[in-house]
Amino acid sequence: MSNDIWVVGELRGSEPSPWTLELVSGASALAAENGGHVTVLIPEGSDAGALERHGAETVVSIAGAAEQPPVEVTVAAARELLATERPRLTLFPDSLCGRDAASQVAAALELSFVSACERITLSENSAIRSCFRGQLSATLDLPAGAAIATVCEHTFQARETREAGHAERRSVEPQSDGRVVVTDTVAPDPEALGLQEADVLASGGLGVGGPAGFELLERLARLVGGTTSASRAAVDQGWVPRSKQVGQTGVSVTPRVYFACGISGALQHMVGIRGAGKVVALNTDQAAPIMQEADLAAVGDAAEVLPLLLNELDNGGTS
Amino acid sequence: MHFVVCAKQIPDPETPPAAFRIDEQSNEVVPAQGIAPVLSQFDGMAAEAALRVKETAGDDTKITVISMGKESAQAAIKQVLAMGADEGLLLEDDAFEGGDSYTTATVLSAAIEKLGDVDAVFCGRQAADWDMGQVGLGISELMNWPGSIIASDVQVADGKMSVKRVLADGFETVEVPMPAVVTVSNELGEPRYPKLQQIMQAARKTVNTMTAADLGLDASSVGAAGARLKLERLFIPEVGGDCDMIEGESPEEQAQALVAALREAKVL
Ligand SMILES: Cc1cc2nc3c(=O)[nH]c(=O)nc-3n(C[C@H](O)[C@H](O)[C@H](O)COP(=O)(O)OP(=O)(O)OC[C@H]3O[C@@H](n4cnc5c(N)ncnc54)[C@H](O)[C@@H]3O)c2cc1C
Repeated sequence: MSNDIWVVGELRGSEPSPWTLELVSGASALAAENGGHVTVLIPEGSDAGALERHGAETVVSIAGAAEQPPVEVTVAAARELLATERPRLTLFPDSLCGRDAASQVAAALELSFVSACERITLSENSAIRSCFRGQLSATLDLPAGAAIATVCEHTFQARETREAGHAERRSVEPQSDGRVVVTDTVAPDPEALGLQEADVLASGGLGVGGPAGFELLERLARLVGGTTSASRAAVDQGWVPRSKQVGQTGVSVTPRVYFACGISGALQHMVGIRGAGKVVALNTDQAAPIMQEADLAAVGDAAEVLPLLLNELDNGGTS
Repeated sequence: MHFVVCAKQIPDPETPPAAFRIDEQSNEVVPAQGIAPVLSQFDGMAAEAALRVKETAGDDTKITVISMGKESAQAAIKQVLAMGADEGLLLEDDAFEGGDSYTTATVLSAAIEKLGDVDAVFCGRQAADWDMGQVGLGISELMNWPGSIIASDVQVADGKMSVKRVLADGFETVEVPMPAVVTVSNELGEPRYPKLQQIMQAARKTVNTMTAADLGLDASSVGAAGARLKLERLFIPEVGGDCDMIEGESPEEQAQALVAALREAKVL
């Protein structure tokens, strides 16, 4: 039985995504503890050097895919390779495409599959993930034969640990069954990209009470040089456009500071801010989950505290 | 055409944390007193997608809602019937219990096979309790039908299904030949709210029940016996804990303290 670990990576633009680099570092750390070789499968045209520096020992590129291809292409490639190689563990990012691809490959190859892992302990053959909106955690078996896992963002830390130029290179030309045909694509929303790059995010949930609450957050964002974002509940209310949604079904963000105002801190929201520096929460409910996960928290009514906070900041600016 | 909507009944995910209890023996969530289980959110959206296609097709498309679960899952089936589905099918057997996404897909596929004339299967993108998101593609693989997931829009024409799927940073429309499986996401929009009259009509609609034997399934291939994924432990996570609480009696004091703390932490 092989001890090898594979990572099925994704591109952002034409580079390996930061999430992919985290997984490569993670795989490399797991292999250091448990033995095994680290192989990365990724669309062609990506910077293999970055993958190597993060610990890839073999890079297999998917020929003809200069950008992230439709998921069917990744599935065809992974299916073919994993069927013969049978690595002990294959990691995918728990992104929309990653989970899609992993589910298809696991079903086709009849492998055990755990999605959204937050910790992997190979020596114990186990993985930990959340469920019930983050209120519960589950330890699941990652059987020793061959298993597939999708991994939440920021579970592993991306680390450059070696020089580039040593990895073995191969390429595959996957044969897709052609049943799924892409007829149209809609480009990324520039606003969503804006959220990903923001230094400070002033984010609102149901607790800010309405569009007026978001106007206050807009002012706060302008004062501190950031932009606004929201929970899905606030988006569903129509207070802000969907492109502002942070979380599992929205955007993952990495601001230096994340102000969570009137946001309860549901797991699906929190997974989107794992990469945030300081989380500052303002909420009427001291027991809200966000209050435990925040670095700094105030129990208070957003409608009352926000205007005063703006005043304070204004004063600070002029004094 | 004949559509299937897969519906799961789950403990209400909005259950307050304090009401959550775990049975450490069985590793199961103990249903909170007085909080009724609900139809998993995305399954309502799957039903909505199927109903929208049925409406535009305007023909005699039939929608069957299938749920694998206990007798109580009748409530989830009835809810989808009230939205406008035509028939219900409950897959109930002690042998189904303790399974995983794979055994669930096995049981649902067997039922779909049994129905015989199914053109499309609509599932929610993931159940709101476990968020696994694997049943839809499991069915697709077991039936060997093309599958497409995380749909924000589904249309059907000329024996093909056109699915607008959500990507991390945009959308992509794909076309698949039917029969096919699609999983539906919240971007589709809210499921319709049944009117009182529809709820009453739903009570009269047929709900059949099938067991493992009816489906020709061996007890060893389903439930805990057939599961590939083993749950070792279910527990309430310990969270963070190193949060600094801002002091202050009045909102004014809080605002001042907050700004001071932010400056001190060099956040601003
Ligand atoms: C599969 C799935 C995917 C999802 N994806 C996402 C996602 O990507 N992003 C996301 O955000 N959600 C997502 N959700 C929804 C998520 O579970 C929560 O329902 C949502 O995040 C709640 O938003 P909220 O915190 O604004 O609202 P609530 O949970 O209702 O919280 C409102 C908070 O405001 C506080 N409050 C009330 N009044 C005030 C006041 N005057 N001042 C200050 N605080 C106040 C309350 O105490 C409460 O904590 C998803 C759900 C599922 C099932």
